[in-house]
Amino acid sequence: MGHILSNRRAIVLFLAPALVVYVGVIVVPSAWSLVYSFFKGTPALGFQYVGFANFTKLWTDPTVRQTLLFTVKYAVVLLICQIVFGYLLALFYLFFLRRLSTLIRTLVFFPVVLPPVAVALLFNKLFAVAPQIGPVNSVLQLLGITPVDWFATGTGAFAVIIVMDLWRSAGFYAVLLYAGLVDISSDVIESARIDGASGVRLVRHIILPLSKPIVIASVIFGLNADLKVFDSILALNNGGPGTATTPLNLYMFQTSFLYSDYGYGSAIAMLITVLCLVGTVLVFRSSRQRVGEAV
Amino acid sequence: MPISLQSTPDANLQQKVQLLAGQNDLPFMYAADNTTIIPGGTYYKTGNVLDIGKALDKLGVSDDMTAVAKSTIQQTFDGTVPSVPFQFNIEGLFYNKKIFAEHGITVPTTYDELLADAAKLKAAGVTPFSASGSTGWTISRWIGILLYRELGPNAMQAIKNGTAKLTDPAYVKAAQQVADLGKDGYFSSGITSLSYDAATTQFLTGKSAMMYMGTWLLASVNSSQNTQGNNIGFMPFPAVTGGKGSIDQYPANAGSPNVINAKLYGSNGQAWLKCIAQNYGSASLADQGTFSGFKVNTPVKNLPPLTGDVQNIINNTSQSVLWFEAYFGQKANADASNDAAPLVTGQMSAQQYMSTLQADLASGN
Repeated sequence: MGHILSNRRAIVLFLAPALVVYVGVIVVPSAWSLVYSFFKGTPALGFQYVGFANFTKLWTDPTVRQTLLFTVKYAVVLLICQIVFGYLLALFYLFFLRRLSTLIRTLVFFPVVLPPVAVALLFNKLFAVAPQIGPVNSVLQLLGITPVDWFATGTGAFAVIIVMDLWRSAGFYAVLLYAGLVDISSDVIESARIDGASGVRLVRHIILPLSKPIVIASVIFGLNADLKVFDSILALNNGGPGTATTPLNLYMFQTSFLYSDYGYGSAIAMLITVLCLVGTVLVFRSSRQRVGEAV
Repeated sequence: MPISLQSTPDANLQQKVQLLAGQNDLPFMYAADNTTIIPGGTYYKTGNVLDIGKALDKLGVSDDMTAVAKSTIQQTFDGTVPSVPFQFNIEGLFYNKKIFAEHGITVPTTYDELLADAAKLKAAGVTPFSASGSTGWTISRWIGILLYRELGPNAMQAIKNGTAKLTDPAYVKAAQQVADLGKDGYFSSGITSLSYDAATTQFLTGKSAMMYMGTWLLASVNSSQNTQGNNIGFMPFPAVTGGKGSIDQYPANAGSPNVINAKLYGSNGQAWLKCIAQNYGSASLADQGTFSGFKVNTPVKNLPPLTGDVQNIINNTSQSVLWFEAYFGQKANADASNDAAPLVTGQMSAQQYMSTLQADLASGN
């Protein structure tokens, strides 16, 4: 093995196919998009170079400010819910259900395999108020509360989006974190138990520190997925009312493909890239030290 | 000639047309946004737009296009005729005669009367107006017609020419009036996510009293979707007291643009266009009960009563106006529609609504 890996030609041969595909589908389009962000125009009439105009417009466009704020708010709130809820589920699998957890894990994981658009349509009907009153409002009615038009206000729509995306993804984070928890040596847990640690203390002082690497990985994974939310919101309420729940990604799509402003759309795409990068670096920075300590 | 049709979801249409234009591969006929086919627009510049008016002249069938359709198209497209008028629609209020009779309401002629009627219906537990929040132009057209009634037929032309702004108090007032309709609870409840189909079904099944709509709705009125039979009536949008517009000025349009690609217009295309000009008017009326911009050369008998009524109105219309978004680009169009529900649910103020649109227009979108 060592002999093969010291052969440069072999390394090139092994890497080449993956590298070609990666460059073809990731690097080239990204570079292309970066180039587009300095141009204005359409495929029909051609493109003109406009310098940094698209980027300066990012600062002055009130919709960018609003969608950026929404994206960050959505990502932070959803991420906290995903990690906390996923972690609790993982603990539940590990300590309460133990070997019986397979069925429950499968059931909780099930929404992950559903297409986001189908889930969005489902939630659209669940929370509907017209033309038919949906199940959620029916329950409210039973309790004597007036039905709420969830999608009419930014706050209501935001609540539905968080509930929907949490339901859709909690099972995934639970399994991811569960895999990390299972990895913790039973000897460590056993000796902690003998030392008298149990319940909350066991989780706080033993399980949590030892599972930090997988939690950090989940946070980075979740943050990047949440910052790039698109399909579920598009299908649920198209970012409405108005642009109250429009994430950057959806605004980028609308700008490029509905308003035919490819240059400005690419500039928004660059903003999303920078946002993901900054988020990831921040999480890494804040965690590196502590992860090192824990492991 | 063999005809092949490609259907594309509305949201992807402009993207597809653009790419085809970029590859110089547009089909014989395509759909495009208004602003792209006027003189100076994208496809006009690329030479993909045939002037239908001149083409019909050359074919000797220019008389087969109705004068009112031609003038409406010319008004929309800076004096040119880039679209085949497969439709000719006027807009007004469809109403349910039975509900009106039950509540002792007669057809209102002024906006104040309309508001009084709406209050009466609302108090009796009837939804006065159907509209769809997810298809927001069903709401924003109200702003347009109020502007035309209040400021006269040049209300939107002035915006286009830059002699007025949507943020001027007179314009914001119209948006405020529509916001007030929402505040008073006159529109369908749950309007934000109510779809176009759900809203029309609500009206055509007698669950609301009125709906502001174009006469393309006749296709649904004449279908099984309508459970109210001949109780559906059509009236002009009432006049605004002291306004410069008048009640007989109907907003009119010639349907979504259907553009013939000038680069592919040959002898087959000419024969086809001539056939359409001579026969489409009758076929459209006989088969769907809807009107086109072509003359009805073969009289159609036994028209449903409402279709006949509307035909009379169209034949007697001397002046038409455009609709709210006629001069808007893609972004302004989308914002006018998407922000309409927040406007009537109080999530957005009239001032905000109009300034968003004005900003879109100012940036050329």
